Amino acid sequence: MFPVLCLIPGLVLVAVFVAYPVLESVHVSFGSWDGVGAVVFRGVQNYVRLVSDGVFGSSLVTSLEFFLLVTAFTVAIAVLLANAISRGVPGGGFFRVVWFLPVIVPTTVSGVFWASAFQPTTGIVNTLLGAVGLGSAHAWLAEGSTVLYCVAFAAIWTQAGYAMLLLLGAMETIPPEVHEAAELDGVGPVARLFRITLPIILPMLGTVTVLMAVFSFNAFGIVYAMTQGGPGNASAILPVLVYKESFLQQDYGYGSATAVVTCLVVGAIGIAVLRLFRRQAMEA
Amino acid sequence: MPTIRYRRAALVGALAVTVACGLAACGTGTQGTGSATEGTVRVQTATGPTADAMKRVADDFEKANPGVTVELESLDANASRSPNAALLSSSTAPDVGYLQRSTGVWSTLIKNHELLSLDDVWKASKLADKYAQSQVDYYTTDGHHYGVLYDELLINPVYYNVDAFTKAGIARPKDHRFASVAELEEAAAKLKSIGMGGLGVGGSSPFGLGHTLDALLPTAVSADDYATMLTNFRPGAPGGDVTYTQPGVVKMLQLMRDWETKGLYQDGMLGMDDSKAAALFTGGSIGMVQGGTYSWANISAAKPSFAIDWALMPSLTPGRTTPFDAFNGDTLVVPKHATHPELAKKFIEFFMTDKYQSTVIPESGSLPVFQNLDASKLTGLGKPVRQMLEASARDGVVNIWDSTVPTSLGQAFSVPVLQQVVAGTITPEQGAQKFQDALEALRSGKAPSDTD
Repeated sequence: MFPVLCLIPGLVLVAVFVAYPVLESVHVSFGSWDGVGAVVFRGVQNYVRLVSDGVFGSSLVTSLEFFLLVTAFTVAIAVLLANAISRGVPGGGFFRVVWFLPVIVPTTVSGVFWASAFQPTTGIVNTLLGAVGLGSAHAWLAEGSTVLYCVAFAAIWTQAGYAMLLLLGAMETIPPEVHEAAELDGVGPVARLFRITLPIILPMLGTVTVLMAVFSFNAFGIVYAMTQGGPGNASAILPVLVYKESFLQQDYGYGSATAVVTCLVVGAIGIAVLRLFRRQAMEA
Repeated sequence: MPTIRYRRAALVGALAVTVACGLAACGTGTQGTGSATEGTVRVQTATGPTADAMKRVADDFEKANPGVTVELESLDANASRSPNAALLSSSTAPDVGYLQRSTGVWSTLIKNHELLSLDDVWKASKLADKYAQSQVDYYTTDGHHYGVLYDELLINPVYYNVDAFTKAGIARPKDHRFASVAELEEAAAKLKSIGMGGLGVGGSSPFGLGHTLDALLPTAVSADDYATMLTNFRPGAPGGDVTYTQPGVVKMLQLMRDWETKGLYQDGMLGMDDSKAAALFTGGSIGMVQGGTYSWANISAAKPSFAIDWALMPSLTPGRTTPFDAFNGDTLVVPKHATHPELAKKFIEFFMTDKYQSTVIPESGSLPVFQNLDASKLTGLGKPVRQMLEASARDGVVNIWDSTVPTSLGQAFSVPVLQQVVAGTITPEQGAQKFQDALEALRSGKAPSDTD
């Protein structure tokens, strides 16, 4: 009985602070609400509006681009960093801390830092590019064609350390003899990474990929701190759109409908990635 | 066994009490009846120079009312919007709430009867006699007053670096006005020739390009059309034939786009907020910056090493002059759930006097709203702001467009559209059509046409 009692506080918290708000969001998504008073029921009107809303469509595409970029690069970079440390790169202990530091920096601080770094005349990025002759007049955050990459870069910077730490933990469970035997057989370091390390840590790689996918799809903080979704809606991923619709335009019904669809998309992506890795693991 | 059962019962009981307490805290409160002579009065205020000014008023109020403590809670531009509507209608509402009449918060609170009438404060402070009639009308709902307006902002002047203008051989705009678009563009080009940026605009701010539009729109269309645009969004209102697809609006949007391609704005304008644009100006990197009476306090606080003057944006119709855009919207209210409503009213009454209108308000960079005050006797008004006040009285003022129309057409909607036009993502014609679609959604009742 005691173990069941132990669950109750957690269940109450989840019910009050997660389940209830989620259900309430679904309720609001079927109505019109300005934040105060009663919700006026409007049926599926908000969802019908979503289908024909060009801003929502472009925001969905932006979210998918952002998610692919951030997830792929974060996991790839994290794998390389974790592999370097686990294989005993000189100063590994130091790099483990340094690469993890961006994770503990508050997101808004990271956002403000990178927003300043990408400024055309005063930013460090253009200064460095100018110093090596690559031009110093790039308006990174003002151009619709570059802004998403800049924000994705900052998101990767903030997430890679976390992914690295999780993967490093998995890599360190591999017995050293496995690598030593492969080395004696003449298997090079790159081949060892792809043929030994990654297959062994595949379950953790799957978990990390799902986590990074969810983080990147929900990366409201870094995007809003850097660009507020602009210019126009060029970097407005779905959570930014939800915020703008709900809190700036006070259209909580439409914002909630957008949030519900966002949750469904994130859930579908998470399940798809997990299934992909599960299949890979079974084949391995 | 009985002990275990007792422990289980106690545990479940404690849990139930905890949950009940938590839920009770989320519940709806009732109107407070706190003492009018002692206690802590919680007062919301805008961040920045206004917060400093309000601190002085709070100190004076505490001295005048022993036993009363004023707790200031400052809000930035984002926090004062929709999230504040929820706070002001909650059981933890402050005693004095702050809101801007352009963000939808006012109409939401009024519609849901969340504000206390301040008729007694208006009467005691003689506000109906001191405000302009348009302001009295603006703050009268069903014959009652639910808020007080405490300052006015002029939002469209451009500050320029006099030393840079001289160095670049640019003639200073006559009578504080750029005579033509060509004159403004030439000034930007000459500034570039001496290695400086042109006009600084906070393109990524939620209001930056909206203020540019506000400065240009009154002369982009006829005066009658502009006046109609401030009211024709209501279902059934006259003026449905005044459209945003008319040539004047398209031409204005094209001009805003052209200024980007010609490099009139600072580099990276669309990725820079208002404060960064102002910092470039005060740091001497750009020669002009879009601002208003509200931004002078921050600009002068940066102690720039050069002389500064101001000018209005050029008129887009020959023969007409660009009017000042006025924002009347900084408002104090008393929420229905305030703990100390009487103290709150007492504080507002204490604040809404000639004394603070002529000292604290000007020192915060804003203009007073009392019509009985002699502008020449206001202390703490910066020289440019005083000149703007005098010029606005002489040349006329119009209500700011993007804060007058509802949010589904105004600032929250229009700025992203303007960003797309300026970035070249959509054409000026497409941008104009988006404005027209938003207008038609309002007129047809598909979008709420509540205004602040």
